[in-house]
Amino acid sequence: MRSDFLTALAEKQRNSTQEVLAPRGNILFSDGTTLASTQPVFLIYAQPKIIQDKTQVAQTLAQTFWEDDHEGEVIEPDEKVSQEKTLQENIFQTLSKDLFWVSLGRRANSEEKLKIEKKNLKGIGFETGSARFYPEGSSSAHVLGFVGSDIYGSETGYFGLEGFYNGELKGKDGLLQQEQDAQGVPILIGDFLVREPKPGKTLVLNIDRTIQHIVEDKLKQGLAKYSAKEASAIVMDPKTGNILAMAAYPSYDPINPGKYPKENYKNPIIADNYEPGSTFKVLVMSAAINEKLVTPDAICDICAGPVSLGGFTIRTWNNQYQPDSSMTDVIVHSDNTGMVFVSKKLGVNKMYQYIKNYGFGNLTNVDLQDEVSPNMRPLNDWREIDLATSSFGQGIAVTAMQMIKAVSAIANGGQEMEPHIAKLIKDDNKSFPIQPRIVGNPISKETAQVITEMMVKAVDKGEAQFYKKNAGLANFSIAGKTGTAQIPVAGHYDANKTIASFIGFAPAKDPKFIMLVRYREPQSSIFGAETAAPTFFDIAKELFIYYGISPQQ
Amino acid sequence: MSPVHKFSSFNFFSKRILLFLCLPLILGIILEIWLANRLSTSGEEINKLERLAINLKMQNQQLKNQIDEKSSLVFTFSQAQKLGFDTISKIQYLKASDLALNH
Repeated sequence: MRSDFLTALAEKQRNSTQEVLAPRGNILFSDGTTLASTQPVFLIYAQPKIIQDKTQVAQTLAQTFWEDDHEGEVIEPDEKVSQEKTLQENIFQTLSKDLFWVSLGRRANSEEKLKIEKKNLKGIGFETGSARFYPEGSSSAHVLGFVGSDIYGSETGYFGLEGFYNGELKGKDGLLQQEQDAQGVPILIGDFLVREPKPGKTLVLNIDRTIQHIVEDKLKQGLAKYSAKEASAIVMDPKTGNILAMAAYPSYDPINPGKYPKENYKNPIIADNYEPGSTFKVLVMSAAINEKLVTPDAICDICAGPVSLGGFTIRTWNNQYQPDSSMTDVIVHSDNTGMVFVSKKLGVNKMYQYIKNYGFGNLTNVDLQDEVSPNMRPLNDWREIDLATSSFGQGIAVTAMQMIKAVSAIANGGQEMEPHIAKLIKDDNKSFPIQPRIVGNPISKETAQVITEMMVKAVDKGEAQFYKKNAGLANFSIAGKTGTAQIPVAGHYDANKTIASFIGFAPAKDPKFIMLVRYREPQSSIFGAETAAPTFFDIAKELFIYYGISPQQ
Repeated sequence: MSPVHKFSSFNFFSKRILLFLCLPLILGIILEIWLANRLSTSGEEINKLERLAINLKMQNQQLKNQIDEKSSLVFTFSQAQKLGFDTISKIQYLKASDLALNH
């Protein structure tokens, strides 16, 4: 007699069950202001079998949708008519389906909902949902990631923090089951089952809102000024690994990622490989000094001219040579031949060991989704030329995150900290702070001091010195190194295509921040000293004011 | 003997006592029926209150979002530009004096 089936049917009629969505957790800047929260949105649906005049309804909706999508824009009347007509046709096709319920595939905010409700369109309704709200607009897009749907239609975070901390942010949906009468009204004395939704946890970040704004502003200006294809910058506290700002362009708007190319979703700071060029020299030099193979005053006896090695010729970037250069001079003048001298002293085994000790070849474990680590060439595959080229940062691939983490060891007395975006995860009851973590000690404190002094001289006497003075920072002690790395294209290096970079920290003796700025294929100049360095100094100037740091010299 | 016959055979005072005892019982039954009816039909009221609570929470969130938007750095920066504020161009650093100055 199908008793089970009929019982189930009766239960379904008698009881109403609804899922109570858990609000997604908020993401806050370090000062507690909001970077991402939630807002109510209303999924617009239609009941085609109730709608009589589908053409009229489609036209009304098309007008409303178009006005909301293009608010404040100036568009030609003909173009407006054409776009509205296309929209109207799409809506009409949806309304013409032989279904009881269709989604119009549009999520309206409360103003749009009110506008549509006032038009009293029969057969058009709204289902309440939630979406992300970003008070700072598209700022910090690569840090945040975005929220989309998974294959089951559930809300899921992709990329960045939304992806990495998706489990903590999404919360747990609740359930409300109650007995109802024939009209669907709940019966108080009837069966009642409630499972409260558990809201997602709140993330408090190390990202400083002001520093993030400064970095984004200056980087955007630089991208335009130097006509580069891409730009990125990261600012970190070397003593804790706290990431204070991170930005990359081209970017996207996390509220509407579908409008942007998918290539933009990837955070180049953690997901793009590049050859670091001369910025890598400070790490190689630190290895040789740490091993007591060279001192800052040791003389390079092969720096009088180009160096021939295994059929290759290694030249300086400007084809100028300084015989009897000291190791400090090698860093100041970014001398490739001097670095070949250092690499020969180190040898393949020690070079390889220090590259690994600095963390290259491994993930940094920064709390962002989709971090990659380029593979390191196995030790057995290293040839003499590889040893030489890696000493000046070519023939070796790294990510920007690996690079800043490594150099931060120099800024932090030899200790390398694990980088972190999030400072704290909290809910209504508890807080879970994320503590700074030492993940390496590649060099000694003394070596770090020596390299720092060399880097200060590199800034004050090297090719970037003019830009430091131009920025009004002549009396500030900044340790840094420029980098101009040719990009490998189809098996060879293209001299006109470079990654121009600058990495530095300040104040040199007691650093408050370390920063890496990169431009890919800048057109105005290929050199890091003329593109990334000026941007670095522009940002550093703002940071000195923000932190109230006065000149050290 | 039926209950009616039994009742009519009671004396006057017994009848009164019995009626006096039954009255609260009857009143109680009526009250329970009335309360149960009120309770079962209050579902509509509860429904309204629940919807009101949801709407108020939604409005609360929207207001909070408006506050966040108006206090965002992006908004503050654009307003500052409109009001004619400019970035700092010159900074003078004052060195602490070696002398104690008495006026």
